[in-house]
Amino acid sequence: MNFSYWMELIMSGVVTGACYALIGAGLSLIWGTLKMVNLAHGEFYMLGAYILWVSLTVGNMPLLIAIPIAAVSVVVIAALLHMATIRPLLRKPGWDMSPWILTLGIQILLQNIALQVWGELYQNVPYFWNAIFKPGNLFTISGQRIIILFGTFAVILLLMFIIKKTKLGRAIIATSQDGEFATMMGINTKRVYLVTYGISAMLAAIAGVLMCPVYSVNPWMGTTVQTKGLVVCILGGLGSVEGAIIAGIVMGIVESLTVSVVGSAWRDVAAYLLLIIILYVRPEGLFGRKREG
Amino acid sequence: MLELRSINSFYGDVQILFDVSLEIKEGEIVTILGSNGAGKTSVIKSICNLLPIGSGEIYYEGQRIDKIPPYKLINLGISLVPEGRRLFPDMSVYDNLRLGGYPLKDKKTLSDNLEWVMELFPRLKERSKQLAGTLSGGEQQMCAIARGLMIRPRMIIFDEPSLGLAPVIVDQIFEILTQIVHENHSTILLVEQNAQTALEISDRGYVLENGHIVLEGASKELLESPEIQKAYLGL
Repeated sequence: MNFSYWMELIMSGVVTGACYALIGAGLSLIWGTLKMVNLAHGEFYMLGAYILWVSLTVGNMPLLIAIPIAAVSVVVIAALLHMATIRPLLRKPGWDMSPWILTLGIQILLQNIALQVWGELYQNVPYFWNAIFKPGNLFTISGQRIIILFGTFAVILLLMFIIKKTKLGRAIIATSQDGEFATMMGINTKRVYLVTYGISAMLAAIAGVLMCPVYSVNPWMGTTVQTKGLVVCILGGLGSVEGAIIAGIVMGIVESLTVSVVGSAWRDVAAYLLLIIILYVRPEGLFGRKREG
Repeated sequence: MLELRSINSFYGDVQILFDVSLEIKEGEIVTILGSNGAGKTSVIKSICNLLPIGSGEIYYEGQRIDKIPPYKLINLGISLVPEGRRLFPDMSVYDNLRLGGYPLKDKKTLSDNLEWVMELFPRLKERSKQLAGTLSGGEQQMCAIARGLMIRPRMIIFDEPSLGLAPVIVDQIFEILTQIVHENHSTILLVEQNAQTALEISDRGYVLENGHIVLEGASKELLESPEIQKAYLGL
């Protein structure tokens, strides 16, 4: 156990954490604007991975075409699902319960469609970049992990730019703070709901695309990241995108350290323990806003 | 300019507005009086289509508006300053104001209008970086009014601007309201519980009781009407 060992552990945690961050940020965005939990979020991650795999193996497409195809297809699927199922229920009586049942249904449906179409075999996607690096001889890192880190970083920067600097971002923030009144400012909130759902689905799809060479592609791959994404989302403070990103990376590092120090069986224990401890100290999450009363 | 023709509105199965008809001419200040639960805010929600009407028609400058989605109203030059301010609490004053100008396409108009509302409310200029949720009640109301003015609306709807404010601040706010009308020839629909002040600054008034219009007339006449004096002015 020397310095490079620990560096590698931390880097591996950051990579997993980047994936949690993308999932958690999407869940947080959806929570912030639509005020619902999207239980089908992990399925967008799974679909992103599958569509990439199909484009690469069946379609024989180059990577730089297959990646956008995967991301865009998932956005289209999510947008259609949103218009067909979420929009009709939005803000109708029973909205406190209906998204849970609806998105759980979508989760089961999409998983089983994937199972029917692609079968239960675990599929593999080759590394995007087959290289090993030893920065300053301190630790080793694979090309794929570097791509995951930079890919996530770029996507998060772009997301932050959209939220903080564009008119669409202002519309998203206004809608999340007061949806009804945002319409009176001339904001088409129905469209904001659709666009945020689409953006969130794209974040999940990109996570799936980036991570699938490291793990494998299978119909159930979305379930674990879904749960971890929710944990990260609560940890960071519901509705806080920055919170979810930071919490995601923290969670990845904690898991990675736990696996090597106490054993992989303790990975989820550590994750939920972290959640319990932080909620005990800060019930509103790391970056959540305190609610009065 | 704005005309409601016998509208009926419902919350679920419960009818809350019965055959409400009213008219506001260009350049007028019209006030709707009524006690709590009389249906004043429902009239406004019906106009804005936040509460779709069951029957009846609403016209704005001859155009029927009761079927158009709420977010398009602001493009017609109608602006709402809602009950309870409804500021975006986690945004700065500046961002709230800028959001008021959301439909403006032109950056120059946006910055001109920002400057204009900051001149009207110098206090907001001092606090422009502060989060809207941390302002005092009076400042929040000023911010809400300023936000409503950002598109230089031709018609402004004020829902209970005096609610929960100290009398001195109420006077200030009403003073600014009248000033705005005179400077911009805006048309104003004012919904108020504070009958005395509202009637003093308005041209005409309607009295709403249990979802019915029970009285209407020039504000001067209403101020002198025994029923109003008894029910709303406490005389």
